[in-house]
Amino acid sequence: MPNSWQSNGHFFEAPLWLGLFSFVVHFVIKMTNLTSAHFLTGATGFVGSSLLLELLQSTDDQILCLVRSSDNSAQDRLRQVIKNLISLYQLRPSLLQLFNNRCQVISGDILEPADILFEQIIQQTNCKIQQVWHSAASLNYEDRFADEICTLNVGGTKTVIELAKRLGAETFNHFSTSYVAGVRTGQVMESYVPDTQLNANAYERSKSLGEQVIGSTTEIHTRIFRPSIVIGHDKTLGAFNFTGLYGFIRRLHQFKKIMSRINRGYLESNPIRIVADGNAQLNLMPVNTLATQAVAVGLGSSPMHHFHLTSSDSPTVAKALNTVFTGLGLPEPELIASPEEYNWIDRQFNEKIDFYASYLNSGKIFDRSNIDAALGQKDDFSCILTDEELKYHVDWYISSNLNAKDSVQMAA
Amino acid sequence: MTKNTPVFIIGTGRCGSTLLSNLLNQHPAILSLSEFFLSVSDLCSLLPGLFSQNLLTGQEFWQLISRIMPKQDILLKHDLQFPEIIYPFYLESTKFTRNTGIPAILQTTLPHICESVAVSSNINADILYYQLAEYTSTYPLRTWSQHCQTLFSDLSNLFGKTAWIERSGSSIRMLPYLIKQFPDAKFVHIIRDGRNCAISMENHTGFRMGVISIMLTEILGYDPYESPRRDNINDLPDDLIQFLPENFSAEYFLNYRQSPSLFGIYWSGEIREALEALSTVPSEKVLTIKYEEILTNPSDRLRDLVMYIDENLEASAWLTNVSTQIRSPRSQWQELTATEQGLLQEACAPGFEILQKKGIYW
Repeated sequence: MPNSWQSNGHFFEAPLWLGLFSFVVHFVIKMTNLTSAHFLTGATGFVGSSLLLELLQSTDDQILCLVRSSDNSAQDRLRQVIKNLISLYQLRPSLLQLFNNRCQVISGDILEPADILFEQIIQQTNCKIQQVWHSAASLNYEDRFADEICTLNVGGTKTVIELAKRLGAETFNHFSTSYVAGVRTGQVMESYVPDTQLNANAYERSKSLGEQVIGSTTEIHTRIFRPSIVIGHDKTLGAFNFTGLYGFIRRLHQFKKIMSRINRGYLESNPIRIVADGNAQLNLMPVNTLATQAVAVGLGSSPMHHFHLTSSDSPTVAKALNTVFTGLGLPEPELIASPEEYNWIDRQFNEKIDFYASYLNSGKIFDRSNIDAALGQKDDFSCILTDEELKYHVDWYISSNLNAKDSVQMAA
Repeated sequence: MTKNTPVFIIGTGRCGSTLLSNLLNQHPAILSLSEFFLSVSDLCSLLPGLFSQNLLTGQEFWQLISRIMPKQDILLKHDLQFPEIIYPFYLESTKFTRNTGIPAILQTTLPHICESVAVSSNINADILYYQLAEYTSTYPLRTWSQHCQTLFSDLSNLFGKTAWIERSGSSIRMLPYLIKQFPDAKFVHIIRDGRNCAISMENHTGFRMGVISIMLTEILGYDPYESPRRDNINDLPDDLIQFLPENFSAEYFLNYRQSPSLFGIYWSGEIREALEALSTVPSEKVLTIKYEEILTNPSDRLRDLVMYIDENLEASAWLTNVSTQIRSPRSQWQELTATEQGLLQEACAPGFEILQKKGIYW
């Protein structure tokens, strides 16, 4: 290495090694002065917002949230979401102040290049990102959204994991779905590697492919969380994203209204037939329980990579369907083994709920060995959904969303 | 002068009622109003608003009946208009074309009336349309049904008729409103074998559009043909997103088929609704006619009809003229496969059961 100081007695040319040394010292100083932080995508979404609330309550860390901005600023948009959730979930109002103090919003989109997002982040913050929580995703499933689903759920995941590496994060927490198991039945281990050939729709395939992206990542510790069907708050029942169970209820409600216009009272007198395994469990997970468990795992020291965010006990498919149908004033459906028994109306309805078919026929038992070991045997992490609790959730959605909307439309 | 006793032909649709309209149109004393309510309600989608008891000026009334209706217009623009649309929009001499759209009352009602007068009379649908625009502007503040009754009476007088009768497809949908708002009305209920009705409905672009419209409206929570809103469209399944007006294509529409069973279910429901509604009307104000009996015994059935409309009306000459115009129907349910026949029979069974209690069989 050249040493101009020694070779010719000049005192003012600093050797290269000194420059490097200074940089390292400066970097170490900066790192030790950095605030520990989490980086979160999907913070305005159903799962992401609950993760944010849980991180605010469970840590003293800063939380950076990547939020798409619309007419409002991204900060205002996220603040409004949190404010609404404090009311919807009946949380303590002081959480809003915690949000104001500890949450920093970065306006951006997971579809942007990672290097641009990285530059934005380092310009706006001096936080040291310890953990990345990636929950932003498309929940659409119709074929016409296939490209969007893939772009967001696969391309977006690639972007965020690239960003996580650039930020020097220690851990990447990825939110997938337990239904990457697709049409598999029986016990599903947490370590199961998804096979896109077994996936039932574009959404599941995109999540499987997203997991493949995670699985091929080596430079950073990764966790894959696989929630089952996410429902509202376990105490207040509140929810604001109405896919999954709520989507099914809504489809049935729409079908009922359509048939009522065609022949008033037809469905009330003619039970629908559905191909379903009545004894299978319909695995439902309240959003706040999901967030509590995920953050607890994230803050813990489990070396495992896959975690099912699923109920350990949940109503059967038969019970769930009966609850939904009777909640909408319809007779309980007839569960059958083969679509050959369908009449034309049955066929029409079942085509409309085709997305949900795998949930109704899967007979999956989601193993929880990893997550139970990570959480320990604490009552706080109980995840049993009773038949009665399911009925509360179903009735809440019907009365506060469907019936309320119908009243407004009739008044109009 | 018109005696002003409203008479309405009601039916499920595709039940032979258009035939009655066309035959009655040739009676010298009867003003046959065809498809008035169906056209101005845009395939029954606007009925509640029309039959509200709000007071309307004559100009407001005219605006409602002369509007270009979005669902019928999109069918017209894509050459999917149903055969009941008889306005000659393809002629260079007409005021309205496929491109301009056709005002509701001009699609069938006015051209139909004008067919009943001699060519030498110098009246055509366009001339009549503009005359009515001016005429209705003088109407005082009244409810919708009062305006309609006035208009029908005025048209009767204009054409030298002594009675008027209105008929629209799917008119059972309007029946509760007609019973309530035309308390003096008489009703002619025409019934046809539901299996053949269902097949005919499934082939009829108006009925198919009607079902599509129902599905769109109930999923979205608003009618995308009447509203610029597009919220909730992610909730539309792939097969229905194509029917938003901005996505509409004739090819997709023609390839999108429902089953006759759906229309069989519809038919059964309409039969039940009709008989329930008509049970609230004095029996002497309801005449039930079986379509198949018009085909097999036209003289007697049509004579019954004319006498029912007005017992003083002359029927013999008219009957001689029209009896030869009756043709066999196009739809025959027996041409379906055995499976389809079974499904259709099952769908129509509730309607048959209700009618059998009234002594009506097929």
